Amino acid sequence: MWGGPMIPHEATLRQVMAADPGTSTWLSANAGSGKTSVLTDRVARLLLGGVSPAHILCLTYTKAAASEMQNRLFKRLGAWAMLPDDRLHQSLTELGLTGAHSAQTLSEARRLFARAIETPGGLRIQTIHSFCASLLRRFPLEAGVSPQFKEVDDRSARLLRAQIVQEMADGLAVQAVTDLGMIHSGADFDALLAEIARLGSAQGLTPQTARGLFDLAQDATIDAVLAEVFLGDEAALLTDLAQVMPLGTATDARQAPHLARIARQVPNVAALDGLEKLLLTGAGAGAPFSAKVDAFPGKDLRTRHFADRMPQLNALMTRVEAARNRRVTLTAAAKTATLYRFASAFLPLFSARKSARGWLDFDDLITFATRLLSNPGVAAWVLYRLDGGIEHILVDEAQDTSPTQWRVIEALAAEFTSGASSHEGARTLFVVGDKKQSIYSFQGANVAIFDRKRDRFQADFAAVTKPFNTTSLDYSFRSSPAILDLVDAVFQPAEFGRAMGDAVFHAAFRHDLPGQVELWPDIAPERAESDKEWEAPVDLITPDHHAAILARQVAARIRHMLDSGAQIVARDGPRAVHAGDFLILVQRRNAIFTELIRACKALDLPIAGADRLKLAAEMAVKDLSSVLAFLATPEDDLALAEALRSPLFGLSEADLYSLAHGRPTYLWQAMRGRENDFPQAMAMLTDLRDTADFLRPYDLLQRILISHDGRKRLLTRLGDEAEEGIDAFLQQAIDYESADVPSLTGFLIWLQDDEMEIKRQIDSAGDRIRIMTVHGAKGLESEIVILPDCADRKPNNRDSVMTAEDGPPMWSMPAGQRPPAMEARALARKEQARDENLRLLYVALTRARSMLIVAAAGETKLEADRKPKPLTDLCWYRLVDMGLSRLNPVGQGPQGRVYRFGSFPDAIGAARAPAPVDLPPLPVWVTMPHKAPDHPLPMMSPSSLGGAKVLSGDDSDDGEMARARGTAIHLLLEHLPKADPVEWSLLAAALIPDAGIRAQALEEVARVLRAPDLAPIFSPDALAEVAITGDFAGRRLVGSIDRLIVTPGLITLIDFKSNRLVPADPAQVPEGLLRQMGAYAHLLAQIYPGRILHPAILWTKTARLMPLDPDIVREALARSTIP
Amino acid sequence: MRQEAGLLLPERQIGLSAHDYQQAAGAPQVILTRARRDADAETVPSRWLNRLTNLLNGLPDQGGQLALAQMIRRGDDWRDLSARAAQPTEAHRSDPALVRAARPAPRPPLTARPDKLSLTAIRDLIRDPYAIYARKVLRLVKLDPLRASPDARDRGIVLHQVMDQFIRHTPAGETPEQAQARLLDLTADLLAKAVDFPTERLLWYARMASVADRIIAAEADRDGTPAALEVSGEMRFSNPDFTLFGRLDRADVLPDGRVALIDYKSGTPPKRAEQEAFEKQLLLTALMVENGAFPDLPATTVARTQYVGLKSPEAPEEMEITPETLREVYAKFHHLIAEYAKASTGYISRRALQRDEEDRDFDHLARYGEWQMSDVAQAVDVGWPDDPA
Repeated sequence: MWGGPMIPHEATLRQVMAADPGTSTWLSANAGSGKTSVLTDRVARLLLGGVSPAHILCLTYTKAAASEMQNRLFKRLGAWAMLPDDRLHQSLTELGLTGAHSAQTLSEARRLFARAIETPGGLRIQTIHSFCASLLRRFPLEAGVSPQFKEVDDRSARLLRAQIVQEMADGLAVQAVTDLGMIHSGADFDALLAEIARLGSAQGLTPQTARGLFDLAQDATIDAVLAEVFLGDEAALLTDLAQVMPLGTATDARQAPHLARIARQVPNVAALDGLEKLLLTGAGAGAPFSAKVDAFPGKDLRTRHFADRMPQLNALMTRVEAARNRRVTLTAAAKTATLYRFASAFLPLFSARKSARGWLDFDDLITFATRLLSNPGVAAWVLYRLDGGIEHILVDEAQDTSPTQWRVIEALAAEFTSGASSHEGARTLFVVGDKKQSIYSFQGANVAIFDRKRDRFQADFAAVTKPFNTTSLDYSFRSSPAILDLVDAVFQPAEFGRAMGDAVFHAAFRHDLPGQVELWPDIAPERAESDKEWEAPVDLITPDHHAAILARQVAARIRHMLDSGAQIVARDGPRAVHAGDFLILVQRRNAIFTELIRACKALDLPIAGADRLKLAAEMAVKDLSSVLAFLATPEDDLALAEALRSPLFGLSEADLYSLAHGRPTYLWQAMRGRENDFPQAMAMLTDLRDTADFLRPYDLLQRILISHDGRKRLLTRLGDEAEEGIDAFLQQAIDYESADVPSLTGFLIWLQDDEMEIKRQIDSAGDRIRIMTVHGAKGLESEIVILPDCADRKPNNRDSVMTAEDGPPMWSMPAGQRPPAMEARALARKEQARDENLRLLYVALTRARSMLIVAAAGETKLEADRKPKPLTDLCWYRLVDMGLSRLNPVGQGPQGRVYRFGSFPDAIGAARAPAPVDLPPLPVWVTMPHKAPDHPLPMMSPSSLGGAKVLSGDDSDDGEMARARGTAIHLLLEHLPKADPVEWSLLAAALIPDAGIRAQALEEVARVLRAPDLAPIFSPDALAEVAITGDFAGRRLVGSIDRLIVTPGLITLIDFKSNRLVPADPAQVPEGLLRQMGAYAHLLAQIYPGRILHPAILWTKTARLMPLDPDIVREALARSTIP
Repeated sequence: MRQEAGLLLPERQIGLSAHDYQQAAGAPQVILTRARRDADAETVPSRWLNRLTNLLNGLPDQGGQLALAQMIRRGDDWRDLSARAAQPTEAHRSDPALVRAARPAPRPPLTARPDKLSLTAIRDLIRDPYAIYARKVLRLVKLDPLRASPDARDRGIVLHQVMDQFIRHTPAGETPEQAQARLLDLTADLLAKAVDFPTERLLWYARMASVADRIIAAEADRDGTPAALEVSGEMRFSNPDFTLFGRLDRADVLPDGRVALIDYKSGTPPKRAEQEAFEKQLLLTALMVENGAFPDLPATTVARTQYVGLKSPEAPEEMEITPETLREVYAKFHHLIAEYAKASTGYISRRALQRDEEDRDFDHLARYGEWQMSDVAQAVDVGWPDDPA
């Protein structure tokens, strides 16, 4: 047991100190020590201290963490906004702001919510990637990226890679592709391309670099090596040996043909390769790859049949041994050079294509942002433009920040310690992380950097004599002492120091929280019996896989705890457990993962399903896809058969047989001939075939799902879990439609092109059992955590390219074929992987609040190669086992070893099932098809109410020229009045491109504008181009009044008309114009009731204003013809 | 800056939206909705919603919390309605067509069952009989994907052609270097004819180039002479009447007059255990050879069979053939076809696969996914006279 008498609230005091925004702080925080709340508190206190929200940048690791923090912050600030004085005072005191708070402080605090929420662009709490993206969006030119850049998705990137290689293979770089093909043995060429694409730039990847990487002398060639080994008589020696080999032991005899072949191949590389295998010891030997001098061949041969030639053979062995290292090095260098040649051809093309399309991938965002911020010419300007600079930076999960990401943060924080600060007030950096939880090396994280950066910042801040506080949070607000004791005990051995950074020590804030750790007996692997009874056609039931056995045990235990009403002490006090309290964590989505989901479903346990969804493997998706495939290709008999057998149509095996067997042509034809036997299926197929050509994929799918009841049918037969697949599939249809011209075949190809895996965020505890990988559980917690996947694991690194932080990449050679330089890298990687595996265990164990169950199915070996494994190599199961042994007392429970702290409240017995509530029946309209609403009548323009618009003989309403002239005149009348007359012609040139029309219109307009009696119309008081809308005779009118003069008593509305034939008096004004004016008057009368309305037309041809009688226009309006 | 340039200000757009919003919010019934989460994470509510709920929540004395609770409840009514409307009804649950499918083992009438199968089909008959049912009884085939791309099968076909022609036209006295050059030329030629995709053409060529020397070396090790290449044959069985047909890749006559059967695999050759369990192709070929099933090859004794993997040609999967081996193969094979000539035998889906995760062409038709590998197959009679269909 750790810990003695606890100082009250020490944990809280530490939190308050860390949240003090006056001091830059570097915080190491144990799991569950409340770092998110420190972050939120610190931001709140910064705001309270008067810092503008725009000057705070908070970088989180995931988008989920970013929105969680924002929501937490808004909740806190929002509460402040509404609290009465006394309670607000208390709340601020708890935050660490001791002393009296003035009325002004309190009202400041209340305003923070509005200030924070109204910050333009929102609070900057975001991931580093979204920060970089927003930076590049604002400064595209400075960063050298397309202003419309797009974050490229995996699918597009993959297609682009394939296309570039296709072009290279088709002529651009045939040799480079062929050579790479020769050294690449795996099946997945695209995976290799993706690795190469990740290298980013081919700069410095030359064959010389490749040789330099392996310390090869300039004259070292494979021919030189061969010449050293093969002096001339080897073929004869080996041929002779092959002939006597059958006289030796059985092993010797077996090797005879092999030797004969090598003899024929001498003196090439294949022969050398063969001799290495035959004459040198293996990789696992005490002295690996050393000559088997006087140990090969068998004794009989050595001493009798081949005795006289043994000196010769031994000499050859020695030469082979001496040459091996150089041979291996040359091979590795040659392959690396091949990689470089390909990369040098591929990468420039890849980045050129990306930039031509304005594509940036995840790494590019960081790279370009770093470049932008470290360019001395523009960085200062950029930082200044970021709302006057970022004054406070907060970094979450710093242990998983990659070196390139650190460079962004350093660039942003550079000014904090430059000494020449133009800013008043302190600028601070806050970094929180936990080295023990660094588990994202595969995304570039490097835990070693954490300390380096801390020291560097500490020194930088010290240099400018600014405070920099390094502290830690040791108290866990989360877990019971039982869990924490185990964690400390598991990581107690000194061997784990490097992986965990420091000694692992946790103090429990909730020091009386009962808890329990269980270690179940491991389940040994089941050896599957191979089936030799091939002639008997009975089904073979897969024997129980060890994973399945364990999965059933886990499910049964959960079932039992739920049914017996087992209690825990949750945050809100003692209560019975529910399904949402269980979190099952696995290392990989492997057999045990699927078995667990299955086992839970079998016991009717509510489970949230897999956190990754392979879309194409979902039954409902397959069913829908088959229907679509048939609709696209009616001759696709199999697709139709699959559709018919699906719940969508529900035909039986016998139905299908009766349709398919012995049919003369296509299945669809056979189906049509049997319409009466399958009326429902036929009706549905016919409807879908009729509409498939007109509906977009999404609509077509919805038609199947809704109109044809498909969703409910699928859910009934496949279970509720089918829903997620269906919804993800619909989402795919939407994604496809937004990326491509939608067509049914296009959609099917889109689906086929990609093995779509939908990531599902399962975050906060709901009412279901959660199952996910440990990586996915980062930041989560749960009352009960089950770790069933703790057996031995084979490290799984199939990368073809071996990269290094501080050197060029190498082509990865298998173990035993690596030159020293590569072996060193491989070893370092292995060490890193081991360390990270330990940290992953730490993360897994510390998710638990009250209860932890550890189990394993499969090997849990303590030895390897008959030697005890080093501690760091043991599987999780063994590590926890040893940890338990360091605790006292460990008892024996019904299901394995148990370590308890305190005791849980007694089970409350089976919870009574809630009485079924009689829900009222659904309203009828819910399930009825809806009547399509009437389309609202289109809006009308006042000039479309019928009637002639010109006098007879006038052609001003006809022809493009006439209309263009009219438009030009209106345009000039709108804009010229505001301008100085000397600018008119310039302005006209800008407004009207056509010189002919312009001249004519300008002349006419100038005359109008210069007419003294018209001046009031163009005074600044008159409104120009007034949009107006309103109802008339049941229709909506929309128009725009050229000029409107509003005075308290009188409204004058004027419309410009550019008719060529101008009526002599109001009586001759064409009917259509009268109606138009009538409409304006009608609408204006609704806005200005009781005022006098004066309608008038300004004839531009004659520059004459013609007032109209309001009654006449009203009467004209009444005569309108409305379509 | 925008204003000086004569552009509309963004504030104008915001103002207009606010105006629209305010007007809409004056409607008799207003529903405010938001998505709780997007594809990545939980969302942050809009500023408006945040302020509105915060205000209501902070006014307990003025009935704000009550009003908010009532708002949320009214919203929940709609959500509940929509959730219930999406739930299957009692009618669905009692529909016999909507009961979970079992692992199928259809039993068609004997006359509908195949009485002729190829050597390669036997593997399916042993491992996944339902596939034979779907192909031979229902006559269903899997169509090529809409966007053609060269796959492993295409590669296998070309590589077989290469090996066939390479062996067939071996000139006398060819040196290993010449042989290697000829092999690669042939590969390039045939790939150019058969494969339209430059990348695959080049990669497949590269793979051949990387093993060419080992193929030549392995050829040099052989002690026989090729006597039959790519020949078809068939063998009849009686009681029940059944025809086994197929093609052999290559048969070499050994110095002692017996033959060695050789089959090329572009992937990994089947291990001995696999051959004992289901990979009967070469063993059955041997049986056919000894029975004189191939016109070009007089009935001879088979000494051994060899699967040559083109990845490691120097280490073929070899099996010595004895009369006992073939007697057993004959007996068991005859037993197998006799079983399928019984009305009580059904074509089980995924009977004995190598790996549970294996994807098979007719899995979807067999409704695998509704049942598990640990389920017992359910025999169903199909197409019998008393069948209602």
